[in-house]
Amino acid sequence: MAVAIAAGRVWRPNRGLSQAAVLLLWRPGARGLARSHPHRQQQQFSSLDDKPQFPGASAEFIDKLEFIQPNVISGIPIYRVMDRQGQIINPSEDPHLPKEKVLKLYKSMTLLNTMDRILYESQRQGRISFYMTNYGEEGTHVGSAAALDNTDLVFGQYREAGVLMYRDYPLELFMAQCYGNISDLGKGRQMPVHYGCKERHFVTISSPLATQIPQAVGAAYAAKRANANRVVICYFGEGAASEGDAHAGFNFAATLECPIIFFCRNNGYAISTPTSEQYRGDGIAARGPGYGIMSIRVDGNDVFAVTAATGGPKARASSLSTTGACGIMMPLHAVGLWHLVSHQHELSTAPKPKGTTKPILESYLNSLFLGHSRYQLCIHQDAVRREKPQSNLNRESLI
Amino acid sequence: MAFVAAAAGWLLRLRAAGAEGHWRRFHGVGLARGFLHPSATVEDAAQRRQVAHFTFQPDPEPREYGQTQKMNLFQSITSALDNSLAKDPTAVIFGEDVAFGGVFRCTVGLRDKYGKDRVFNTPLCEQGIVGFGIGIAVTGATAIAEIQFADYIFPAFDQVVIPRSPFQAKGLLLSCIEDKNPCIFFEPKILYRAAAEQVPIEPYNIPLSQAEVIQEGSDVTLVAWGTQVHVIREVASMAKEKLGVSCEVIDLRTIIPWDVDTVCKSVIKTGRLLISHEAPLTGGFASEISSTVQEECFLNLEAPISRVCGYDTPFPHIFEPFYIPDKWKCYDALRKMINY
Repeated sequence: MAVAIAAGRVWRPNRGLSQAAVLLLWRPGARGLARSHPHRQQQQFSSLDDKPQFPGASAEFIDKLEFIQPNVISGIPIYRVMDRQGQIINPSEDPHLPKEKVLKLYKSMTLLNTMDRILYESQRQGRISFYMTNYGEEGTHVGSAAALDNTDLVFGQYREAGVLMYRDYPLELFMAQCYGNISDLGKGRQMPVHYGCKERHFVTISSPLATQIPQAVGAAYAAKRANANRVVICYFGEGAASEGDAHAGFNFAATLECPIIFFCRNNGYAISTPTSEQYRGDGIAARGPGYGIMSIRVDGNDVFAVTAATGGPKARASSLSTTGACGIMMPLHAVGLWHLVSHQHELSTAPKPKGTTKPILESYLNSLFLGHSRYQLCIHQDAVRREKPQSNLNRESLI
Repeated sequence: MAFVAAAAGWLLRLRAAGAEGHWRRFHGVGLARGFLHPSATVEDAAQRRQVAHFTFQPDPEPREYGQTQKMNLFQSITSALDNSLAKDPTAVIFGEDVAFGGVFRCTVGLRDKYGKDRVFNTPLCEQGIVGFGIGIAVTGATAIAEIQFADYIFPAFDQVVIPRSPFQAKGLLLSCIEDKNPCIFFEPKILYRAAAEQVPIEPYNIPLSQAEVIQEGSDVTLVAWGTQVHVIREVASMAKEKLGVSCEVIDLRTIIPWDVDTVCKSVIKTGRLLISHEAPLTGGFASEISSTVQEECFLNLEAPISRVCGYDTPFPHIFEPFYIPDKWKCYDALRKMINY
């Protein structure tokens, strides 16, 4: 709710907004707000004008007392390309990715999943001290990585190994970092899963949550100034979005017009804390427009949707050219698999509830994760399958 | 952080940073499993290879506080919190993941027992947790804020307490909660399960700002707190055995404000002081103790005060065994002091 008291200086907004009077949360429109600078828009107006003259606000007057209810518009809708059976719903939204890319996406997801299983077991056996799996979120990693250029800078939180995997980071180096052995490029300084690779433009993971957010914004600003034709992508979970650093990052990105994509992976839990205890309001995506950030909500289990949202002309072009920041929220719910995703926490602290671990983990490992399996189904229906049966790919990853 | 003089106590519980040393590489799966299993007990020690840089030494069963029960460190924390919530209806516990029992199991059962308005999760935001806690205390209620990992916070430390054992933990925590001043209570993660001893079930208090002389001696004073107390205890045994040197071992217990009198009284007697902590040397608390002791006891000193601490680097992962001020480094420093 904005109550603005008129001050000395007046800022006249772009009146083209009046057509978008009903504020659709998922279509903030070309408000021109991000481009205009208040101190450049001093305008004379006659005292007969009864227009709002509040600095920093752009709206009409209203004489009816009405509060905006937090969820009155029933949630930002979730963009998807495939249905749960892997069918493309709307043929015009089919990204028509080249076969090699489709296969590479699948191979990366499968390889990541296999590596996760091995390293998870390694932690339970005491071979490595700590591990975080990526189960269920493989689609978000590879989908977004596929949409970026190889030189785009990546700031992750700790569950983005698939991005590195997609950029062909060798398995040996993943392992070396986890073991902290002589081959580790990080020289054994950090706990497992704290990967980093300068050549692949993946900034080293840092333990405290959300510290990467303001840093990513700074990097984006520098990239803009250098005319490097790069965007920055910044990943974080819905829990980390509660940190003060997240607020700082979003606000800086918008006001300083930085070419950055904020990518929120929402898996419903922060260790044991469900989203109902993490925030109220319509998730993280709904915060974007509040900061002046173009936003979308995407089904994180749908690789094609993730690729389209991250790299489609809208996201990338607008990141590079004008308003800058773009926010993508990826809910990763999957019917019936909430409880699995909730065990997706780090392995050296939080214990697993007794009696629930084994059956869930098994059912997951048997069926692969929904995003993955939906993608399987999609390839299944595609001609690609006839050239390379996916069971071969699955087996290859285990070698 | 501005601490308003709160009408009631408020407490910040922090997991002590560092000392992840229990996650060493193992050569056999069986050993690892035995250690990693949550219910690994001290009895397994004989079959296990030493994996930590210290051995926890339990204190004798306390007689003056009524019936006792064997508890490890996290259980003694739970017991203290249980007592507090029972005694003080305004007391609330909050932080990340406390509702389901906490990532280190310190708040297990408390939400069921006392209700979800008294034991609850907050969003993931340490600055929010601390600010929220200050607000609660301002109204006169008792705030117990849990910060999951000390590494994630940079508070202004006004009163800092750190226990070496379950018995100490419960008594000190209760004192912190009841103290009208804000307190920061550190819980060494490595002791959560590794430290187990007899702890009274009923509430009891251990006074703040009072150090404890665990072992009397005449030649050298050794000062430490938290996990490091067990290291210097062993160093004292080594010194006795190998050098015939008698060490006085002091557990500081409260870091700020610290018990200057007890430490100085000891140094006046022995003439030598060695202070040890895991935190980096520069700006570490040993420098503060050293400075004050040389002011108060300058003419009593037989040798320069020795500090055995971590290096001035971030706490490393794979090189932790080299970083940690273990018993060998402490013994070496002690020897040099004796031969000064």
